[in-house]
Amino acid sequence: MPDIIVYIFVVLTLIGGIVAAVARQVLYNIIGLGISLLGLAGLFLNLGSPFVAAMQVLIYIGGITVAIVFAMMLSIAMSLLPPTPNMAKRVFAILSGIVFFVALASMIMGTHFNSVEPAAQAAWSVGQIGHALLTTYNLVFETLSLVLLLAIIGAILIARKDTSTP
Amino acid sequence: MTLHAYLLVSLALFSLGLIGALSHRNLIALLIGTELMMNAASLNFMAFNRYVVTDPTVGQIFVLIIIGLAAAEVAIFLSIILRLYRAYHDIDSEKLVELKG
Amino acid sequence: MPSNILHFFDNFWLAIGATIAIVMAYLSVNAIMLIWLERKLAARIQRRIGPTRGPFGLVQQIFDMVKLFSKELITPDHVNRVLYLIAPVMIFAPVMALCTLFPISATWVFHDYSVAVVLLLAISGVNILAIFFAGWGSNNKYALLGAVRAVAQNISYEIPLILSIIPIVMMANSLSLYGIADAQTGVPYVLLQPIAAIIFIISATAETNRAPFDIPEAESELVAGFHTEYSGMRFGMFFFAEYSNMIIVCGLATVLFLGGWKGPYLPGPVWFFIKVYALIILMMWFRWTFPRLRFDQLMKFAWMVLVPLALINLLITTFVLKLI
Repeated sequence: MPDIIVYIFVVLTLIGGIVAAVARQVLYNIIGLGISLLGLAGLFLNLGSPFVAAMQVLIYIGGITVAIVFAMMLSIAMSLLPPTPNMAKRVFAILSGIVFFVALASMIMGTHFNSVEPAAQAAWSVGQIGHALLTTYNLVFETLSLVLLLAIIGAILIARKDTSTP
Repeated sequence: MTLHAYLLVSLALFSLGLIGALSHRNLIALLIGTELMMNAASLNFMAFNRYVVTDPTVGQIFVLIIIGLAAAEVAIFLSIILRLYRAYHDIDSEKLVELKG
Repeated sequence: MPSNILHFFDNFWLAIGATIAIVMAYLSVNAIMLIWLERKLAARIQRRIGPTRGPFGLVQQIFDMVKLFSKELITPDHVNRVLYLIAPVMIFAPVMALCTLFPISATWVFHDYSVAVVLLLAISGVNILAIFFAGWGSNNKYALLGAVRAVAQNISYEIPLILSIIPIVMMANSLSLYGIADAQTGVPYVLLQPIAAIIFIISATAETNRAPFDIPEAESELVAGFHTEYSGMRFGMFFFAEYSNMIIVCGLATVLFLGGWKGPYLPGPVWFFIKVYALIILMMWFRWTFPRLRFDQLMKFAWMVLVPLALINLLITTFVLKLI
C-alpha cells in the first residue's frame, strides 16, 4: 500500500478518537467512534490481514455502532441537551490521559524489539485461521461462543419489560 | 511504518479512550471510551503479529476474539442502560448513585 | 487466473482513477435505464402503457433527469447540518466501492480479493448508518420514524442474508467471488441450494428497502420516510443509491447462485449482465405484485420464519457435505 494511504488511515483513526473523546453531544461521539473504527480497519488491512479488516467493519460498524445508536435513541433524556461541563473533571481526565501517554511512550521508544521477517502470504490466509481455531485454539473458540450465547440471553432478560407486576 | 509508529498510534488511541471514558457523564460516552481502548489493544496485537511473531495466525485469532468479546460486552451494557433509563428516566452517571434496586 | 486492472495501468493512482471512472459511468447509465425499465414494467403489469414520449418513452427519461438536476437544493433551517449533508454522500459511497468486486468474466475482474464476500457484507453495513443519519439529521418526526424502521428492518434481515450465504461458501470452499463463480462447474448452486436461494432473494429485497418491504420509504404512509426533507439532486442521490444497491445484490445473487459468467454460447460478460437484469426484473415484479408488509409482520417474518429456516438449511448442508 502506498505510504500516503497509510498516513490517511492513521489520521482518520486519531481524528475519530479525538472527536469521540471530546465532543459534547453523544451522537458526535458515536460518529467519531465510527470514523476511528474505519481508520483502524484500514490499518489492519495494511498490516496484512484483509479478513480481520472486513470483520472489524462488519461487526463493529455494522453491528455495534448501530446498536449504540439505537440505545442512544431509546434513552434520549440526556442525549439532546449537552450537560454543563464540569471543568475540574475534564482537566483531571485530560491530565491523566497525557501522563499515561507520556509514561508509556517513553517506555516504548526505549525498547528494542527483535523484528522477524513477515511470514509467507499463505500463513495469513483465512483457511489457516479456521484450521487453527478448530484444532489448537478450540477451547477459546468454544468459550467465546458460550460467552456470546450468555450475552444474548442476559441482554434479553435484563431489558425485558416486567410482565409480573400488574 | 515501523513497529514503534504503530505502537504509538495505538497508545494515542488508548489515551483518547481513557480521556473520553473519564470526562463524560453520559453512560453511552463511557461505553464509547471503553470501545476505543479495546480497539487500541487490538491494533497493538496486530502490530506485534506482523513484526515480531513467527506464526501470524495467533494475532488474527486474538483480534477476532477481542471483537467478539467487545460485541458481547456492548450487548449487556446497552441492555443495562435501557433498564436504568426505564427506571430512572436518566442515564447520568453522577445522578445514578443509589445501590438499592 | 483473472487479470486485474493493475495489469493495464502501471501507476497505482491511474488505476484507481480508471476504476472510479468506469464504475461511475456504468452506475449512471444503469440508473437511468432502470428507472425507465421500472416505469414501463409497472405500466405493463398494471395494464396501461406508461411513458410514451419518444421511442418506448425514452425521451421522458431525459426530461426527468434534467428536471431533477435543475431543482433548487433547499437546506431547511432546522436540520442538523453535519448529518443532513453527509447522509447522501455516505449512502452512495459504499455502493461505488462494492461495484468493483464482481467478476464479470472468466478473465477480468477489477481486483480478486480473497475475502470478497465478507467485504461486501461489511461495506453494506455502512448503508444502515447512513439511513439513520438521514433520518436523525432531518429533525422531523416522520423522517425519524422512517429511519428507525429502516434500521430495524435492515439489521433484522442481515442475519438471514449472512446465514444463507454461508452454505454456498462452504460448498465452494472459498470466500472470493471469483472462486465461488468458478466452482459452479456444471450445476449452478440454485439447484443444489434452493432454500438458500429463496431466503437470499427475500432478504436482499428487504436489505435494499424495496417493496414489499418498503415501509421506510412508504410513499403513502410516512410522507416520504427518511428522505422527507431532501429535495432536488440530494433526493436523487437516495434513488441513485437504491438502484445501484439493487444491482449489487442481484450481482451477488448471480455470482453465488447462478454461476456468474458461465453459459453455453455467448461470451462471459453478456451472460453475467443477462442474469443480473433478469433478477432485477424479478425484483421489480415483486414490487408490483405483493402488497406492502406491515412493520410487525415484517419483523415476525424475519425472526420467526427466515432465521430458523436458514439455520436448518445450514445444518443440513453441513451434514451432507461432511458426512457424504
